[in-house]
Amino acid sequence: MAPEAQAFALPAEDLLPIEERRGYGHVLPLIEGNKSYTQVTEEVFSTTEKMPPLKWWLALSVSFSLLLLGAWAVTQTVTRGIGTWGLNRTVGWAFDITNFVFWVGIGHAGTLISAILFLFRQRWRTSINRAAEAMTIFAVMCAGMFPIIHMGRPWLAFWATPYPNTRGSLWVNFKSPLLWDVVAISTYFIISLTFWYLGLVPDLATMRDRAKSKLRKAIFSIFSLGWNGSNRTWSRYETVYMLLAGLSTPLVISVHTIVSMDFATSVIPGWHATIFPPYFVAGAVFSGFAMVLTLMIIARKVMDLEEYITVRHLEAMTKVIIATGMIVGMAYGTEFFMAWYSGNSYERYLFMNRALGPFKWAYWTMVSCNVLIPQLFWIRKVRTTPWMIFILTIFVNIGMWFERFVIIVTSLHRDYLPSSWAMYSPTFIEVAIFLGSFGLFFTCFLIFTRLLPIIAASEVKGVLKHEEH
Amino acid sequence: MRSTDLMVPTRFRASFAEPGLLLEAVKRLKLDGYRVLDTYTPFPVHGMDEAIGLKPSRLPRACLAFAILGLAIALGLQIWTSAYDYPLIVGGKPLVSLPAFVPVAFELTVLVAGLGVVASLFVVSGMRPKFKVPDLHPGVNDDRFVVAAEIRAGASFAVVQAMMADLGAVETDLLVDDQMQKDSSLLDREATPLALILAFIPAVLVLAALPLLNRDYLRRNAAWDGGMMVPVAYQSFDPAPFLPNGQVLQSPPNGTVPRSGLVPLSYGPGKAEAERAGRELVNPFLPTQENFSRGKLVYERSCAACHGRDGDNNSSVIVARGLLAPAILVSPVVKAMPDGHLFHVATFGGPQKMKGLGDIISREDRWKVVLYIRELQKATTPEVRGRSSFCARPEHRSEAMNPNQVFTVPSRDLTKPQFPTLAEIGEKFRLAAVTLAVLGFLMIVVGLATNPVHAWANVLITAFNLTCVGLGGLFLLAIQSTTGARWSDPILKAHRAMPALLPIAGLMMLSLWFGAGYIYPWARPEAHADHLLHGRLVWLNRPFFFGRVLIFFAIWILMGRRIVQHGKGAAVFILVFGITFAVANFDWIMSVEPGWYSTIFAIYGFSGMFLQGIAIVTISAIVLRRVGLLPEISKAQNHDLGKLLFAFSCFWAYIWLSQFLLIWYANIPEETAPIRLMLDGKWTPFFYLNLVLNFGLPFVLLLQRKAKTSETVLMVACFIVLAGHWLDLYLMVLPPVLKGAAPTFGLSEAGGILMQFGLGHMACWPVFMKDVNPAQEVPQR
Repeated sequence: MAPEAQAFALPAEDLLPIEERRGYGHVLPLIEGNKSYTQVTEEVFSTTEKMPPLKWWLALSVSFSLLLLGAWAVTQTVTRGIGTWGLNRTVGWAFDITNFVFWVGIGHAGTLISAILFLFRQRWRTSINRAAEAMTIFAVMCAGMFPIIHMGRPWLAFWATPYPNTRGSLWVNFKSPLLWDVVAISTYFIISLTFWYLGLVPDLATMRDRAKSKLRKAIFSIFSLGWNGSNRTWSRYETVYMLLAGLSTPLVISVHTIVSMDFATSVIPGWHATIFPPYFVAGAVFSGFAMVLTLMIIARKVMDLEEYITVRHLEAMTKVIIATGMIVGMAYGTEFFMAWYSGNSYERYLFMNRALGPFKWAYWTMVSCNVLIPQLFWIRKVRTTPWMIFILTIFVNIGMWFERFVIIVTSLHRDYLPSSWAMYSPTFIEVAIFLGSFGLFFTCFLIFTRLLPIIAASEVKGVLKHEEH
Repeated sequence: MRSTDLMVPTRFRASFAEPGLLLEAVKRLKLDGYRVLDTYTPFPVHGMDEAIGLKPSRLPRACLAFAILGLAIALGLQIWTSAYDYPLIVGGKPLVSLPAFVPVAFELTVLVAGLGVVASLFVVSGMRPKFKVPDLHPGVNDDRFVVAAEIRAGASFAVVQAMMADLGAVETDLLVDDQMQKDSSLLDREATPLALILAFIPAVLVLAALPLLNRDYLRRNAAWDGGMMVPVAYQSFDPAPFLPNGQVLQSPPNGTVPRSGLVPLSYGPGKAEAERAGRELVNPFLPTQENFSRGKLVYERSCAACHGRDGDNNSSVIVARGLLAPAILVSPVVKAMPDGHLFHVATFGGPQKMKGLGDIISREDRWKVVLYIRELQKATTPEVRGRSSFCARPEHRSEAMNPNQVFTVPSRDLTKPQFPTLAEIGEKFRLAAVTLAVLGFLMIVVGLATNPVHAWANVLITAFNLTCVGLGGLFLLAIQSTTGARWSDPILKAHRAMPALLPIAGLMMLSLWFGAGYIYPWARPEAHADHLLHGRLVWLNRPFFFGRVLIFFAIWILMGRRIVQHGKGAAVFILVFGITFAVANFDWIMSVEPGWYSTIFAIYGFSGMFLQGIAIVTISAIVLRRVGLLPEISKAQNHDLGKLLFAFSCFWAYIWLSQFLLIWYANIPEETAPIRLMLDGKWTPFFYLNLVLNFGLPFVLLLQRKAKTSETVLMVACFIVLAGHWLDLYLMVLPPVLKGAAPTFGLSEAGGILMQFGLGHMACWPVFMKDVNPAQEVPQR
């Protein structure tokens, strides 16, 4: 190197050799195995054309059983009423809304991976975005179920939408955060579905081209919209894909912001905190990435996709988990500090009660799973060992469920009036509905893995011989 | 093209195994004058649009049109239903509550824009369910990269075949006509989005017409109409035009004798009557311990809320909220008033806002309160405590100092590429910077001498803003190094110079030790007596507060040096930064009003800091490129910076809205006070200007892709953001410090701004010079 060039050296350039030693960037390809285009096509699409293996059927039977259990519990709730739940006047939102927020949070990673990482040109997203987006859609389906059954009369759920009616001038209350929720979740579902479908179109065309049976050919002909890989179409398609990514990014943030406002617009200690919107969004990303990792680690193993979903992908996602986990931890700290600093005795009591009251076990589960355990991801060995990541992400999933439980139940069970104080414990029906939502989620996901390519083949081909720069 | 004389042009296709080969073939075909119809590939090949000569799609415009449509539908629907068709008061909020309409408006904007642009794509590209897709090549969705072109006049297929084979084609053959997909010509492609929007109009019209068809709209539901909506109960002091004195509260009829048996006063309201009472009346009570205690009790119950416990407004609730500025009872003016005058004011009200309390406090008690006030006046020296808008000193204004003038100076001078050498530039700007810094310092000194409250507040703003610049650079650098992002490598130099500001900012922050009492209520000696502050003084006291300042700056400077010089410790820095910066925000800025708190405040501070950091990096990158110091900065980097600026401007608005919306919605008195202060008074225009500068203008300016790459637009947007951040800080600090007095722009403000520019340049330039000057050694690890 010429002395002058050396003098121009920048720290990032100094970092390069370190990064290479660590195994980033130039060294590891995004897709392993030095594959050809045909090989990618074959490996990605053949899973959708073969009879699924026995382990798939086993998994489906387990998750479908859970789904049936949930269906039974929902039937009980609808026919016998909300009284089958453990709710009471003081704790009016509990298990059900906890699950709602939990699932919405899970649903955030998909769009985040698709949209934000796309805008930031993080090319490692290509082999996981399809599955993550599918997860988003199924998670939002699970989430949407909970407020509807919480209505008690779910057959009137359409009352929550603004539509011209014959009851005189009667409209929904646009100033209510609960209505914002209806609009936000529906918009999120529709846009995520559109985004997912748009990303699928080129792959659906490949499936159409590969289809042997007439019926299969007809079905995929309908859904692939006559796609023929024309550059003119690609050019517009990419423009629209980027626009959708640009729209989805603020959308994904807005959704959990609005969910947080269900709580934060109230005057209940522990709920009314201005930090809630960003704190909920960070928590959602945190839990969503954990769930994506959980699923991806299983999927890559079961479906032999280790060369597509590489350790590099997993490691990148664990870093997002540390970052968002720290933000969540900061938010816990801020809330605590501010409760003390405010001098407001209700706030102070509430937070002391969270940490030392009857639900302290839930609180400390939350803190250890969300703040303490993810610190292990600082260790590189943990970040690059799939089974360790798997265990840690399970902890994060548990911790984030408890976070919502803590926020909802501990804030409600001690009212301003001590005469209204109450405890809460879920009934079997509530637990069954929660398990049922997992059944719904995994059933959908399993069917998806066999029906459609879970890797975006057209995107993976684009980065196959991509040189990182 | 020009090949269509008599013979039908013959089309051919050639397929390749690699996108690179296809791209070369297309370029060659274009060069040789062939008409390339299209290429067909399993994934988009970058550079193909330019090679074929496709113009950028106009779909983004369709997207924008749909977004505006969605916004209009959402706002129209919400305003019409909530305020006209079904006017229902919810939570005491106005019928048209724009903050509450933002979430739904945003969602519907995204929904209509997203669905609209995808629908436009489908129409424009003719994407619809097709059972028979022209079979161009079986491998285009698998592993073949195919080009379709017309054979040039005069060339034979054999020539083409040979050329293609030469370029690496796997196969080349002639195309049958129906193998080509015809471009959708049903509608003009670019007109389609417009047509789609037009298609929406009937639906909107039908929706709008529904209420007119609805009989209920004309004969409204009685339950929600008229009387039920407006509370009938009048408040005592409400205006009532139909009553003799124009207000609800009526005086008792003449000659009424109170049940306590006292004789009615022979005085009426008004200044003349008050002076008459001052001349004629004498306090019937002697200053005995008993009378004094009674007066104290009544005073503390009925008067202290507004006048403060010591009559000096210091512990006044309404002054702390900035609502009103009552007369200072211990001031010389009130001291000079005779007892009778004070008694009259207590009975009938003061010349300004004070209401008469004659109906509430008995006559004896009013006289005893006057006794107590006399005691208070004896106990106080008003010169020390007289700090209120009521007797605010005239502000020192400097007409020549206009923030915009100051802001444009460096850009105008720097952008001229007429300074050839580094040394000259450095010399020129060092002189200017030193001048600015010295001038600013002098202004602040003059400010300290004449109006210390104002001046110290500006020292705080300046110090905090310089800290933000330093930390902004450091934070960007740390993020860069942890994520391994490379796009900004060339502009790292600007980041690396920014942390040099931290020591100066730290010294300024520490200098606040001497002025803390002027701006921080908790630093005043009487804070111990204030129950609002009680219990927080453990955290908010001078030694601990400035100890934290010292520790934070030590951490930032030391860790910053490690990152800048060795590129190490970035991840740990981000962690430590998160905690320290949060506490710094709570401490330095939020505690200006210690009764108020907001958990998002640190994130709000961060969003402003980060936005400003990006703006400064952008400005320096552009300026330095123009003078030829950073030749490696390209248009793509400008575009990236533009995108970042746009995104974080939106992020700032998001955090701003989160804080505002939640406080507005919950409407808890102690939380709303600082915002009410700005929305009720003379600060209102600045409250909105803050939004416009930090979000509105950058959003509009940078929405277009073209704008994000234009250096002029970027520069304008950056300076707007800088002005916006200063205003944002000003609005966080000054209203509570001035306790509701009108905003002023005086010597201290101008001095603060000048110092920021001067010191900013003085601190950063030498570091930057070290980086870019090949003659000097770069610190090595």
